[in-house]
Amino acid sequence: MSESDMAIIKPDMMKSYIWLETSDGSIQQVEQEVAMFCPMICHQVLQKGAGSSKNSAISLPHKVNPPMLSLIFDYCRFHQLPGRSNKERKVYDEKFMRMDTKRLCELTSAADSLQLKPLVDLTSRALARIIEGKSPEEIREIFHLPDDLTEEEKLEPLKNTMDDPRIRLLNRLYAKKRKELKERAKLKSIEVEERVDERSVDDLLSFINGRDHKGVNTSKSKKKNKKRKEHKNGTCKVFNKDSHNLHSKQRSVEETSSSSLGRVSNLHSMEDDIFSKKAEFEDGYIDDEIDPALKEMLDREVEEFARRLNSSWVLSVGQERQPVHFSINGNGDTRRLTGPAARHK
Amino acid sequence: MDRISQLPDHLLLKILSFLPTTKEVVATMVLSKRWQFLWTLVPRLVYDDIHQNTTKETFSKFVDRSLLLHEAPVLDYVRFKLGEKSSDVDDIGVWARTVARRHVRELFIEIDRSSFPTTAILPKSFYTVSGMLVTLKLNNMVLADDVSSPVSFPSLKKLSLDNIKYPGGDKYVNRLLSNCPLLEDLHVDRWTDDNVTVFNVRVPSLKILYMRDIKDSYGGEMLVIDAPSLETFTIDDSSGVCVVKNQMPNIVTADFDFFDSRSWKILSSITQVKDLCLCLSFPRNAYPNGWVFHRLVNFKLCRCKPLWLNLLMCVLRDSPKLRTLKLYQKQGYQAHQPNPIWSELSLVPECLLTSLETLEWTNYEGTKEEKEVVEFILRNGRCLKKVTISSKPTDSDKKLEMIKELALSFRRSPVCQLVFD
Repeated sequence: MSESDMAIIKPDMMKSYIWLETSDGSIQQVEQEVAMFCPMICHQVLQKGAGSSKNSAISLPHKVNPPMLSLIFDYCRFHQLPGRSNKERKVYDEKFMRMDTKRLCELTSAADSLQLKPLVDLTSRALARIIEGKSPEEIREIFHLPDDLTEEEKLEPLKNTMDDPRIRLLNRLYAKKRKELKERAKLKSIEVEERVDERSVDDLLSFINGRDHKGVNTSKSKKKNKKRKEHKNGTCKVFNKDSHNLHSKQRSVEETSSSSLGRVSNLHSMEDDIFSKKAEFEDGYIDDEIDPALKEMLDREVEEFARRLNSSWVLSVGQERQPVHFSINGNGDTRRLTGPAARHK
Repeated sequence: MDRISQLPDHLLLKILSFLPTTKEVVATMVLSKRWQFLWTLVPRLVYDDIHQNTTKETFSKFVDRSLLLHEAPVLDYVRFKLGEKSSDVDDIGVWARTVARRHVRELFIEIDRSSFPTTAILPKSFYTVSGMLVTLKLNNMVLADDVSSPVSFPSLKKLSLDNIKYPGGDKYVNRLLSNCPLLEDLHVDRWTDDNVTVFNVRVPSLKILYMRDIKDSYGGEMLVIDAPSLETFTIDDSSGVCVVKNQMPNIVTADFDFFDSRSWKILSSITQVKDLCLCLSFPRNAYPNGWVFHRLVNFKLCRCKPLWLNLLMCVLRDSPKLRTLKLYQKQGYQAHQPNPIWSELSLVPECLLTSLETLEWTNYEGTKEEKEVVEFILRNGRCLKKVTISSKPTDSDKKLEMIKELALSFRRSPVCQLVFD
C-alpha cells in the first residue's frame, strides 16, 4: 500500500512531517518526532510556526549539508524513541561514531548548529579519543593540520618531556640572574637597595603603560618608604631587581595592562605563597638572541612577573604614592582607578 | 584539508575538555597556530601525577606554569590527584587557592593516603574566595582554621571530606557547615583522630548525608544530626553515639550500621522512611510502642548483632506496608552466639498478612531458630510470591536436608515460590 492510501484509510495514523531546506537549496521532509528532537528545529516550529509546508520550510544553517542532515536524523530517529534502554543507546552510539575524522568534524559542526547537544558531546568525545595518546606529528597527519609553528616544531613537544625547552631556557636565564642578584645583595646595604627598588616601581609603572623609560626621573621617588614587611622579605627584593633589569632591556610592551588589571589580585595572592616557598624563583635577563616566537612567550612571562610585582608594591605602597593606578579595597580586590595616563609628575 | 581547525573555538575547547589530563591538553600547543593557545582557555584542569613517568619537580613545575599561563575566566572542573610524586604538599594549598580565585565550580583534591601522612593544608584564604564553588571533594588534608577568619561557601551544594583533620575542632566543623547555605550532599569519612569529638551536622538544606566513622578508639565520640530535609541518610560503621534532632519527614532511604547500642533511638526520627537497612545493637525491652513505619516497603536487616530477631519482629509489627524483607549477614561474621530465642508471636504482623511479597535470606545455616522464622513467615505470608534462601557452601547432604525441610513446610500463599541458591 502506498502512503497516501494508508492516509485515506487511517487518517489518525498519518504521520506529520516537517519541511526543511538545506544550504544547497534542496527541500526535504522529515517525520515530525525525528526533526523535533533537534532543539533548533523545535524552536522554529513552536515559536515561528515554520516547517509545516513546502513553502514555509525551515532553512537550516549552512553548516548542515544533506549528508550530514541524514546522519543527524538517523541519530535522532533512534534516540527519540523513549523505550530504548541505556545499554541499547550506548551500543548504537559506539557504532554510529565509526566514521572518518573529516565526517566527524563536519558532523560536530552540523550538530552544534542544530543545538543537538548530546550528539555534539558524542562527536567531541570521539575526536578527543582520536587525539589522545598520539604524538603531535601523528595528530597533524590525521587532521591535516598545517605545520606552521616553525620554531616550536623543532622543540620537543610537551608530551614527551615536562621540560619544554622554552621553559628550560627561561630557567637558565633566571638562574643566571639570581646568581648576580645574590652577589649584589652581599655588596649593597639595605637602604641602597630600597632606593633602587623605588626607582624600579616607577619604571615598572611606565613599563606597564607602554612607555619608554630611558632616563626615568627618579627624583620624586627619593622619599624613603617605611620599612614594610614585604621589603624585608628577601624574595620580594629579588623581584624588584628583576623588574629593574627588565627595564634596562628597553622593551616596550605591546599589550597594555587593561585586561591584566583584573588579574592582578589573582597573581598577587599566588605570589605570597609561591614566592615564599619556591627556590626556583629565579629572575633573569632576557637574552637578545632568542627567536621571535620565544621572545613573545618570554615577554608574556616577564610581563606577568612585572604585574605581580607591581601589585605587591601597590599593596605596600598604597595611598601615599602617586600614581596609583590600582586601589585595593578592604576585601582585597583591586580596582582600576583611572586610565594609564593618569600620572602625576 | 584541515577540517578540525575550522570548528569554532567553543567546539575545539569542548573536544579538548574530553582529554583525560591537562598534560595532554597542553601538549596540543605545538600542533599549529590555531591550537597554540587554545589550551589556555579549556575550563577543565586535571592534574594527575600518579601514572606519569615524571619526577616530583617537573610535575610541580608543570602545574605552576600551566596555572600561571592559563586564562579561562571560569574553571568548570579542576582535579588534583596527587601521589608520591608531588614533592611538596604545601603546593596544593597554593594551587587550591589559585583555582578558587579563578571561580572554579567543581574542585577535587585527592591525595593518596599511603604516600603522605595528612599534612597538606588548605589555607584559610581558600574559604573566602570560593564564591562559585559548587562541588568540593577533599581527601587527606588539613583544614586550616582561625577564629578570626571567615568561612563562606555561598554556592556549595556537594561536599565530600575524606580523612580530613580539623585543627579547629568541633567549633570549626560547626562553622564550616553552617556557612554552606545551599549544601545538599554531605559525605564524611573519618579515619583517624581528626580532633573532633562531637561532629555536628546542622544543615537545614541537606538532602543526602553519608557518614563513615572508622576509628580504633571509642572515645565518646558523638554524631549530632539536625537535618530536617534529609532524604537519604547513611551511617556506615559508626563507633560513637548518634543523636538526631528533629524529625525527618522527607526521608526516603536510610542505612545504619552502628556499633554503639544507644544509637537505635534515631529510628524514631525516620519513621517516614521507605527503604531501610539496619545493622545495630538493640536493647531487649527498649523498643517502644507507637513507632509506625507507615511507608516502609523494603527492609534489610543484618543478623550479626544480638537480638536481631527482636528487632525484626518489632519492625514487622510496625510496618503495615512492607513488601520486601531481606535478612543478610555482614562479611566475616559468624552466626551470633547465643542464638536468639524465638518465641512465637501471638499476633501475626499485619504485613505478613497483607503485603509481604519477597523474602530473601542469605547465609542460611539451618539452625533451629532460623528454620522457625522462615517457617513462620511461610506459614503466615498470605501474599508471598518468592522466598529465596541462599546458604554458604557446605556439604551437599546437609544442604539437601535444609532444602527438604523448608520445602515441605506449609505455605499459606498459593503462588509462593521457594528458591534455593
